Amino acid sequence: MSYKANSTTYGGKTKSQIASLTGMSQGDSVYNTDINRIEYYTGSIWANEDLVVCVIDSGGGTFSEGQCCHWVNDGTYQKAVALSQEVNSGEFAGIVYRGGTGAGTEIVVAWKGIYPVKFEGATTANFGVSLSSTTNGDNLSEGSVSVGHFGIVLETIGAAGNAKVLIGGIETF
Amino acid sequence: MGYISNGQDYTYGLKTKANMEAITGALEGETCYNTDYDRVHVYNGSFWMHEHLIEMTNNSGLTVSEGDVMILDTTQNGSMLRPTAIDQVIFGVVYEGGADASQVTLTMCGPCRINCNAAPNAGDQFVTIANSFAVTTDGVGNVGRGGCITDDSGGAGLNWALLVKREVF
Repeated sequence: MSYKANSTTYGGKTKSQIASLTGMSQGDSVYNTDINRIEYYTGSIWANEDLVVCVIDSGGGTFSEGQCCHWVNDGTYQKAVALSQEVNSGEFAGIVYRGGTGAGTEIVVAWKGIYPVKFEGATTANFGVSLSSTTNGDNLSEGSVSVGHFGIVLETIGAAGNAKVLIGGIETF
Repeated sequence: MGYISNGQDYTYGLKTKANMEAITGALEGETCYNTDYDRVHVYNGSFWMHEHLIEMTNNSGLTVSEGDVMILDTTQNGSMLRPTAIDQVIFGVVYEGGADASQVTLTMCGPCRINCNAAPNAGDQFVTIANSFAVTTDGVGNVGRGGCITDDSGGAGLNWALLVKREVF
């Protein structure tokens, strides 16, 4: 039996190269070599099955890769999110993968899968991940996986920064 | 390297969910880009599927439609029922509905449209209701929450949600 390689509109590209593409149409595809996912252009942003498209809420600000955000009831925007602290765990939306700046800006967040997550300090592989209690959008790793954790750390880092995490559902009680 | 130009290499191109489901003569393995969900669907010979859908039997005794919430029927393999109580584990949300005893498809997780019994607010969490295919919002953390409403513009009826399985105990 012969096999045909999975072809995409733009072939294999890094996340950075994908961001530089122009002239796309809805339904176009690209293989993202950083996360090993085929992504599709929605007509306004690249997304895949792990990502949900949302917008920055009326509070505005800058949302960057790895930050955690949650759904909010925004009087102006639908599918609006804000950067999260621990108290927002029940409305967990996901981890920002393609960020942006300013109210109403479309972004995508990862609600499952393996993606970079921003930690406010060093973290250790196999630890559980929870939201920071003090800093919006940052995350903590807290030893063995337990109630309130939304993912598992996959790589150790010695200082604050982004580390790969297997993101799953969040348990909040 | 082979390239697909502008998505037109999907067997049926770009279609809304309704137009996709109206296609006749589709063959197993054919593809369509669903513009409502922004997701490639593959025809399995019976239904248009994507990676978050499964095919199950509607054993509720009633016709089900997109957005209806279902629980697992533990008495029959591969079957689902209408919820019978508040805070039950949501097995899935109907994607392509059908009559009683027919095969239907269910969203297991991810973005979907969900049937709300009353106008929700974006960010609300939701739970099942006794003897209803609709959910009610619940912000106080009861067992059984299935995810969050992400777009409340549908009022009482279908609204966009992110369905996320949560542990229940």
